[in-house]
Amino acid sequence: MNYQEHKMMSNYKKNKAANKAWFIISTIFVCFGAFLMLFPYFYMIICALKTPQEVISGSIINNFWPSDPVWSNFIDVFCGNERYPLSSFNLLDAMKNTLIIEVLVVPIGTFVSTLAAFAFAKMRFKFKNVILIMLLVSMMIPYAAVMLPQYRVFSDMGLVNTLWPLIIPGFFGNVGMMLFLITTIKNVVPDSLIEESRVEGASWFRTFIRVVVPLIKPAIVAQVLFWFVGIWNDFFGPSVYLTDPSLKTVQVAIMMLNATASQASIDMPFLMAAAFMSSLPVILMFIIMNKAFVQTNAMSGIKG
Amino acid sequence: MPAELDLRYTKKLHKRRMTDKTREAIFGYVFIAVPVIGFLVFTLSALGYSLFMSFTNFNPIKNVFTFVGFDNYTSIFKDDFFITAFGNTWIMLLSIPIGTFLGFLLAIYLNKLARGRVILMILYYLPAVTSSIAIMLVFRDIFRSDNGLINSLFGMDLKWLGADPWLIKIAIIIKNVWGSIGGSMILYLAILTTIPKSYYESARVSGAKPLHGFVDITMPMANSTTFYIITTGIMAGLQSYADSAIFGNGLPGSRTIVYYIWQNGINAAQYGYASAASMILAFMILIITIFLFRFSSMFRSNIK
Repeated sequence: MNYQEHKMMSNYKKNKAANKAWFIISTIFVCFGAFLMLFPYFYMIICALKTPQEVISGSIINNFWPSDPVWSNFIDVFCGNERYPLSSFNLLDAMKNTLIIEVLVVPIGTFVSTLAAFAFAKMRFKFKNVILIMLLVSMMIPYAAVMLPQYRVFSDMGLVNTLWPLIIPGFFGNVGMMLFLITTIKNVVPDSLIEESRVEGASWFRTFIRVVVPLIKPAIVAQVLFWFVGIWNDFFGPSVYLTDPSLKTVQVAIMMLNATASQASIDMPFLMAAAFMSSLPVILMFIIMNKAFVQTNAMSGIKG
Repeated sequence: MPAELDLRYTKKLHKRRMTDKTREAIFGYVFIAVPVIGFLVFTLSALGYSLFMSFTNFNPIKNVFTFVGFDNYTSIFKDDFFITAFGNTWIMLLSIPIGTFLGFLLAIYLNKLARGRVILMILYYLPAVTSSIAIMLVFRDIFRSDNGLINSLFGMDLKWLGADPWLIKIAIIIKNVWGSIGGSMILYLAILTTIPKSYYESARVSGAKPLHGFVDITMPMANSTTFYIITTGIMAGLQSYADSAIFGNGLPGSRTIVYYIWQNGINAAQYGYASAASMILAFMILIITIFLFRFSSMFRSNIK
């Protein structure tokens, strides 16, 4: 071993030791970060188990744990209690309203977006790129710039305080989803398969259903999940269009609970239980189907 | 005779191919029709209507409608509330570079991790699928001034959710960093897993310090992802509304441009005025997007 090699080896060893130290330090940081990520959820549950007085009285450090856990809040958010009867807060109804929007918008919107994505990715027609760029630019237009005219039209049609303003735009698809699926179709579906199907006499639509959709199914599933979560957590549109208590979506219901609570004395535990229970379905869905979520995000990153 | 047949055959084939081409174009247009109509109705015409309204003093409650030229625009730029909202919006974008950077470091760590990667990914990504309303309720309680967790933990007595214009912004930035680390982590991980390990090995064997591998290999590879995260982050951040309406509860220090539009538009029914503000926002997003695309292409060509 000559000097040069020796130096390289010792450097390598030194680096290895340094790497190990770095690894331990960063592991501590990452685990602490993971704790911080989880903490607000944990805090939500702890807070929901306390009595309203317990939350505001005394130092939170001494009173961190509920002295006598009250589990009833987690049930009361669905069944109501004396303070919040079902007429003022009904999480089950709110979930039902949200699900109505989901069930109408997601399947139809997904079909429309996927079909358009197929046309943009694989079919030849004039002005294709111009139209595509136009749709792309529409993603940059802030919702605030189109919200007022949309609100006015829906209010002229007498549709404010119905679920329709939140449903109808969804029927026309989702440009973000479409762009994502265009990339997927281009990457995943070979031209030869489509030509083959066409030569065999299948129509364009049949080719789409029989050849394209099965190949890009994972991507569609991932996008559907994302859209579902987006609608579930959406609150700006619903808060603009829905004021009727019986029509509230999940997020609007929680928001209004918060708004009324901040005027009078706050029933923080009830609020926290409501927030937790409203997030739970989506969080569980994410944990169960985490692969699909991660995949779609990863692929959209490559696209960008 | 055979030659003639052949000619007839090719003629027929030629004719069929022509109709095939038209057929393809017709079906192409049909397949993209729904999203395009959606764009024309819900985005383009709404945008045009907003632009038109921005030159009027339209107010459906006062029932006034006259052309005022650029009056709305000049009075917006003279309005202290708008200037504050403008500044607030930009200051609160600070969470984007911080969250992106932390997500990047986390992705590098997770990329080297053999075990436990999935569970850490799920934990860090949870905020991305949780409703912003639930997150805000928890953080509002954590930042509470009387016996709130942050104040008690650090022995402070700060009014985070009070009149101070900086504390509320710091609280919002902390909350948004917490919420955005997971999203950028997933996107960075997608690109990092595509970098072959041999790149680093050859760098290490040739005696390069780990930091060099990082600067020379990891950073350039991650550039396009950084660009994607920052661009989409800024576009979303400029449209932030919930941070003012829910988390800040309308506090002046938390008011954003969209909150300002909402206040003047839906709440005060000054459609003309609010439309002008929304046009300014749309224009701002357009300029930033163009700038970022220019900047990124400059950046990328320099690397190559």
